[in-house]
Amino acid sequence: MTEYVELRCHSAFSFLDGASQPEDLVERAAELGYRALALTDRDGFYGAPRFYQAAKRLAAARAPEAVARPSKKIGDAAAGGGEQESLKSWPLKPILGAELSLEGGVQLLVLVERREGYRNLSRLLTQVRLDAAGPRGGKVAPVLPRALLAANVEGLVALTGGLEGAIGRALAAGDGAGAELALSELVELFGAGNVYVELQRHFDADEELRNRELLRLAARAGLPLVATNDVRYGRPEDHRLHDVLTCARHQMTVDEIGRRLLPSHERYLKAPAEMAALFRDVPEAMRTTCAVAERCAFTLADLGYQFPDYPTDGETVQEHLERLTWECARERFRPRTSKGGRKVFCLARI
Amino acid sequence: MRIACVAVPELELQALVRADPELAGRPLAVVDGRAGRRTQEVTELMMATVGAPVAVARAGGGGGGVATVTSVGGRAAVPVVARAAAPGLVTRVRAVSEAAYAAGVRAGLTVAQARAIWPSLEVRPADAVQIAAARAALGDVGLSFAPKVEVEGAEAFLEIGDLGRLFQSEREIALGLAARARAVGLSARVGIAASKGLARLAAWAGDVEDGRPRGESLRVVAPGQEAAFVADLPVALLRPSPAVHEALERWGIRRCRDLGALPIKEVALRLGNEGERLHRLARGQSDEPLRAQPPEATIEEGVSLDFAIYELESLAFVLRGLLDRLLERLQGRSLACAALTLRLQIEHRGHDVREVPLAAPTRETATLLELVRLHVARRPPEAGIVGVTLVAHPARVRGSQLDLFCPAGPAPDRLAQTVARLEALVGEGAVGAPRPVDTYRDEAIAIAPYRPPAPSPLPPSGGETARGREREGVAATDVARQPLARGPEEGCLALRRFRPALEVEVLMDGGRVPRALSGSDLSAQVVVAAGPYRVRGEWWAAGGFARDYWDVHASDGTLYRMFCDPAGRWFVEGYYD
Repeated sequence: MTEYVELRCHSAFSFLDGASQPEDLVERAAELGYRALALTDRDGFYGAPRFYQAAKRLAAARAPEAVARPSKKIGDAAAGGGEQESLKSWPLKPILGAELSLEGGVQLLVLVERREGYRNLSRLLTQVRLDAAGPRGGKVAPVLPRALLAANVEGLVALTGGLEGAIGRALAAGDGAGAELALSELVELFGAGNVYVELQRHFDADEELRNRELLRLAARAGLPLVATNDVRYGRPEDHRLHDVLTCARHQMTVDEIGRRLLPSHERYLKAPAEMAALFRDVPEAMRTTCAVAERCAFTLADLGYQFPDYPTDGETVQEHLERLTWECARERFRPRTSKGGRKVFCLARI
Repeated sequence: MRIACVAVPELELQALVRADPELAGRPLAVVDGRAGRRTQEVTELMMATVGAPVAVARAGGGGGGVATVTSVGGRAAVPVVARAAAPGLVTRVRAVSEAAYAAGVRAGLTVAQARAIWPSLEVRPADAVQIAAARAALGDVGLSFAPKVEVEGAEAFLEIGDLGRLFQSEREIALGLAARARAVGLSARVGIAASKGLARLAAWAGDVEDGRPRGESLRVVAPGQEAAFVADLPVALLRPSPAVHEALERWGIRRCRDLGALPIKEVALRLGNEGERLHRLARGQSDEPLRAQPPEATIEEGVSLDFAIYELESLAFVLRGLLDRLLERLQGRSLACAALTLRLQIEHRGHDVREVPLAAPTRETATLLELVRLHVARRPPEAGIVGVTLVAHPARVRGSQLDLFCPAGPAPDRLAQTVARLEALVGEGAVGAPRPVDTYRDEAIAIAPYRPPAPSPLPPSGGETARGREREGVAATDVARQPLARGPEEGCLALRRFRPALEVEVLMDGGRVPRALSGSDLSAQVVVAAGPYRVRGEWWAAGGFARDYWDVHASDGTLYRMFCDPAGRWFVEGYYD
């Protein structure tokens, strides 16, 4: 069976640039047989809680006992101390990410790989939103300074982006050297293992030309390819709503909007087989989507407080606690009394 | 203060002659508008019945609804009874021309009485539209000399105190005013005096026969001569009310001198405020103020037609007259026509109003007539035309800057005329400059009004002069034609588009890729195909569009661009070269 994970997906929380609610995206992705889905709204995490809850409800519906008994194991310090969630533990794993607006109107997609990445991305978004607060309570378009990004890239994975990315912009302008430079900057910023060259296919001739260049750049830089569909709505028929939202964003009527709309209606969640047909000449781009999803272990389930490790000298935590309790009880309640017996009973309950 | 009065005797009559110059010099009587038209209808009815070339309608019983019609004109009189549609067939003459007056026709007679005196008398109903236009033209006469003009009835008053710098004497001003009035089709009497009331007296005084002013006259009352000028005038010229006039007649006062000699207190006691005003005027004193009116924003000329017009040529004849008068008025005020509104009164169907766009302000009759004619020809009215009105929106004529190194472009008004002719040939909206439309439908274009290209930019500065280049053997015009920069389109493929796209049949292979195409004009194998490139949009419009584009290199060596619509039909949109 073809495996594909959509790693670039806007919900309605990308204000006026996404036409589906997070719950609808989760439902549609589950229908299509996705095993993970990344929610990457623009400059925000606003849809993440609902996205996570929807995925959790889906998990409860598929395997109630798995949800009733949390799979967390205290002390599992893999992947930076966070919980390692494999694709197998969720019917649809909710991956977190965001599209960051950089200087010059360039967009950069980052996915949260681990807990530290979530912390960094939260910090970046908070700072961007604070900076976007204009005078007299107004707002300006959020812009993330590159210096701030450079200081907070740990735990994040970057995708090069489509036409709105720095590389896509340079390629669209016919500036191959500029695209190569932008890619090298990205690699320098995130590290070679954390950058993926993103391919999109929406039946667009110009996009196909850019893809050729991206393939060349990826081969030269030795970077992995990843396919995305830059999803803006869950189902094909939702394109009308997205068009209307685009009109609202530009404050125009449908008759005035012209080519500000997307040229085709392909930005929906596509079935893995459909995506495989589109990328049949670069199957590794399809495979990489699963690898990235596997790699991005962090979910909002990991947000709960994590107790610090306590030295127990080879005992389990329970054994250690019981031993300490008995020692202290003997010291305080010697000889043994009924009150001490109640303490032991309470300890057992703990 | 010096005031000029331009007075038009028999304005109703002059309005008719102005609209139809052929009536000039002919015996003509103006009757009430509605009654006049009814008389005409009865005359037509009689002509249809009897076949007489000339007929007289005579009312029977003063409005009883039945008219006895008798044919005359060389044939035996045949009494015919025609039943009129409404009562009130007695129509009276309101004004008569010089020729008719000389023959004995007087205002107040019935039409029948007038025709009894002069059988071939032209009887025309008063036309409110024409009268209003004549009155407005009279105002324009004043506006062509001074900014402060008051039009009151058949008189226009203007302040001419500042015209001394342009004219050597006030008589020249009076001559100019009379000539200007003549140019707009009015025969005017001009009087100049120290006040409005005295100027009016000066205009109407003299050349009077039986109390009827005759033709044009010019009279300037020099400062200080007002009392002497007024003294010999009849008191009727002061326009007293009938009661006051009767009282003055009873007192034996016929000249202003007699009235002015009376003690003013006694006159005021017996005749009230009017008597006091007349007394002051009779002594050459008047303080009646000039109430200047703002000029109208549009200039209008119209005519009501006795018979419906169905032919374009007939309409053009009417339009020419209207345009001549309209443009004469515009010229008098140093204005040009920036836009034109044509209002056609359609028989039994109300008005048909059309805006005739103009590329630039113009005063050329031929251009405007052609544009209006083409406009009407493009969309003829649904029924006969019984009234035509032209409304000009005036504007100042502005000169255009010509280029030293480029030939002058076409005159804007001539260009508009050419465009209008082309539109008449190919249809409205089909002439202009193509303009790309902001849509994913590549073939979509809009037609924008054609504007001649702007003059080429001046040659680059930096010390390089045209004379210097000429020394180097480069003509200035050659420099102006040189491109300033290389266009970005150089080196790109150009798509030569088929309009409309050619429908073809396409053979697809198993991978849903075109392998061959055949149509009425082309048939080829596909060597290489790239696509599909999907374009969707305008779903809110009827149908919208959805196409899958392919670029195919055919076996005939041509690179075609094709698309497939949702119905599975294939079209070749064009080829690259």
